[in-house]
Amino acid sequence: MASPPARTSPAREPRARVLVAGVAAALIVAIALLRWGGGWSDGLVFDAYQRLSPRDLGAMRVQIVAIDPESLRVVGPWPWSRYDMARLTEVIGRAGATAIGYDAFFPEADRQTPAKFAARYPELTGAARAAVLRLPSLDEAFAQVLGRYPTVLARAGVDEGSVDFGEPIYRDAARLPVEAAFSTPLPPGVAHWPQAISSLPAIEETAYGHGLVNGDPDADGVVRRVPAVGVLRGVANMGFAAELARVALGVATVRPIAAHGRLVALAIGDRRVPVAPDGRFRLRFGTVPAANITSAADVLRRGFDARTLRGKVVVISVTGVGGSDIVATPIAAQVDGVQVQAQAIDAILRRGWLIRPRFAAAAEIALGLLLAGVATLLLPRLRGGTAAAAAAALVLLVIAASWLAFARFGLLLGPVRPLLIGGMAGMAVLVTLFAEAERAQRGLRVSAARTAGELEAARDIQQGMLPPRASLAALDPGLDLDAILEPARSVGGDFFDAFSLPDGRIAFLVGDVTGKGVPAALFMALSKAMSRAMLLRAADGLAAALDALGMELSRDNGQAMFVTMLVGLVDTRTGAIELVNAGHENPLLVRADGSIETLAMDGGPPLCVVANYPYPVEPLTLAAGEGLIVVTDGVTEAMDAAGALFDRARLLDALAGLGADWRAERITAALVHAVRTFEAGAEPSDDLTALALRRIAPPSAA
Amino acid sequence: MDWPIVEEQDAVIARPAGRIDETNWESFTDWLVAAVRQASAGGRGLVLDLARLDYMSSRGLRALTVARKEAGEAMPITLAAPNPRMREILAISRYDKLFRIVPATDTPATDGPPATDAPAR
Repeated sequence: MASPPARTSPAREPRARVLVAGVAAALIVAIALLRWGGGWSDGLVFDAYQRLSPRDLGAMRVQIVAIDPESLRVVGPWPWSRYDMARLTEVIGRAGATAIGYDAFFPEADRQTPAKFAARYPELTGAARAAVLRLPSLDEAFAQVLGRYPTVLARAGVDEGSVDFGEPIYRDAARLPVEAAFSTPLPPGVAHWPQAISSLPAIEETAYGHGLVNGDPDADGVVRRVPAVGVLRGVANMGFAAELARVALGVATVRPIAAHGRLVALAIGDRRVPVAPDGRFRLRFGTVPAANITSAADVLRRGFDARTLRGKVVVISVTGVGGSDIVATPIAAQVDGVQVQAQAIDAILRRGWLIRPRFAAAAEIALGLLLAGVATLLLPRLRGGTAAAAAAALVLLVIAASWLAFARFGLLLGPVRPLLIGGMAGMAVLVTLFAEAERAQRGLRVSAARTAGELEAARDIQQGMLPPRASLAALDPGLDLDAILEPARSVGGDFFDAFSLPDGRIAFLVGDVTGKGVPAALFMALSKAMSRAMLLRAADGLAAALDALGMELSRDNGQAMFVTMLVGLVDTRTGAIELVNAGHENPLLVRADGSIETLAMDGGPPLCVVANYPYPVEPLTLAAGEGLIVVTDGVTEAMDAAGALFDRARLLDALAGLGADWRAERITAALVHAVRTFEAGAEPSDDLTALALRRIAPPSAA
Repeated sequence: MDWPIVEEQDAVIARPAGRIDETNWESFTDWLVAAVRQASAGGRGLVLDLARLDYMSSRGLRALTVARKEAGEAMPITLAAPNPRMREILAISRYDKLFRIVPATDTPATDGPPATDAPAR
């Protein structure tokens, strides 16, 4: 014997497909995110967080001194004379500012140098000219004031190819003075520029510090980060805000902190500012309060209350006039660039920076894979509503965790990568589950349709084999014969037949094959054909015909099917009937007056149950007007919805009061009607067959 | 099917319960054949105690036929304590001619062939 072919359990296959779909979707998204970044989402999400919860700048210790339109109206157009700048610096410095930053460059000499003045006035006498020429330039005066206070000048790295590149105003960027001491060299990867815009050497030299103002926006034009450090021709420089913070904090040496050869932070005193490898740091933006902005005109006005500047970092900048620096931040579409610098200084002083850890993207992807795993394992086990609730809960949990990390710890951990990976995996799982369910459904429909088709065919075969009802009545003028077979939906194995024998008698039979469905219908077809064949050539009598029929049907009957049968041969001239009952219900005898009684028969077991059973042939004589009714258990075992049986008592009731003028057709119709009424719509479980015959008196006797 | 099959002195007694119909005839057939084999192995007869059986469709009768064939000529199969309904089913199908039917399980089983006389009807 060959062993049965190995099969994987059909129940496991769909689950495996779901698993594969979920894992594959997760991996594809994860790889795509690794390959193409997914940084676009960070800007959106983290900007939204900042808009939802901007940084509170109410306590910021940074003051902006704005050279605004009012100042220009009072003092004169920009650039101002170095005298005015010196005066402004003097007032701010004396007020007790901890650091003074100039968000501006002073690259050209003051317009009012003594030499220019002397050249403009040829009337000056030689002595007077010499005296004028001996006067110190205003640039020198400004430089002297810069040297007296903790001042920080701006400088900007210039890229090769920039419109400013190569202008004569630049000195060798490598030789620009740097006041901050770096404890260690910066690791590679920090943003660097070959040239720089800076101020006149005379002014440069005396300032307390210098810082880079390269506040380049991200690709979408939004400024999110400012440099803490940068490199000008190989020389480490502080960022402008970082330098002001350093000066304000009185720190001489800053400590670059690297990990794996990349810059991760810059320590300014006890402030450890986390930076990206390019030296820039992120800050959480807010709105600079109006109180932290002072007009330069007010500062220069007599009677200015200097207390507003005491102990603060002051940043001087031109604002609100053509050409002034306007930028976009995560929370504002247009804001003066100096406000970004002011916030950056405050972020360092009050630790308002944002941290995007180096491992953040990897962690987000790992969390996404975890979510994908949960979705893949959980979704197939949950029902629709529960699954949706669980998915929503996970999504909210991830978003809440991301928000909490931002709001409480300034950590930028985005929910988009995890949700994208987990969500795609979940979608793939759901789609696969749906497809699997659909497939299973389709399989069921196909098999149901196939079964229905087979049953339909079986029913057709069954009906096609039965003699037409019209021919029954015409079989013999001495016999009123009618029969009906109503197949059940599941097809039983009922059959009936009636035909003339060579000796002039009429054979009638009703049979019922065990079981239902196609096997029963096939065995019914065989039984029906064989019984007619055997009865037609039964020269040795009914008993021998039944014996031969039983043997034929038992041959090759592997399914151990059997058939009950009631067979009768009637001589319509005499009314003599021979009956054999093979395991069938006893027939009913109908008297001429329509009264009914059961005809008790000896009988034998169904055909094919035992071999060579000696079936007794039981004789009966029908008087004119008398008849017989033969039914199958489709009548007596018909069930109503409650499971009650129609049974023999109801059968007799249904036929009560027939009267003397009864006809075979009325009996079959009455039986079908009674049974269907009893069932009251319940699905019939078996075929229903009824055969009725009545001996009609010969015309001569009428 | 976990209906009891009990071995007694001179017979194996099998006790089905409930209904035998379209839904369970296959397992009933297997169970019954197993009971026949058990009796056959011990050289004993089989008594099918029908006391707790409500109803049997023609499928159940077919199982009896299968059991009868499995048992062979020598082994008696007795149907004991059928309820009125079962008695009628056995009468209509004339299985009462193939199997010995006794009113209760303690009726002694005989070694002879099944009774072929129909009960008076």
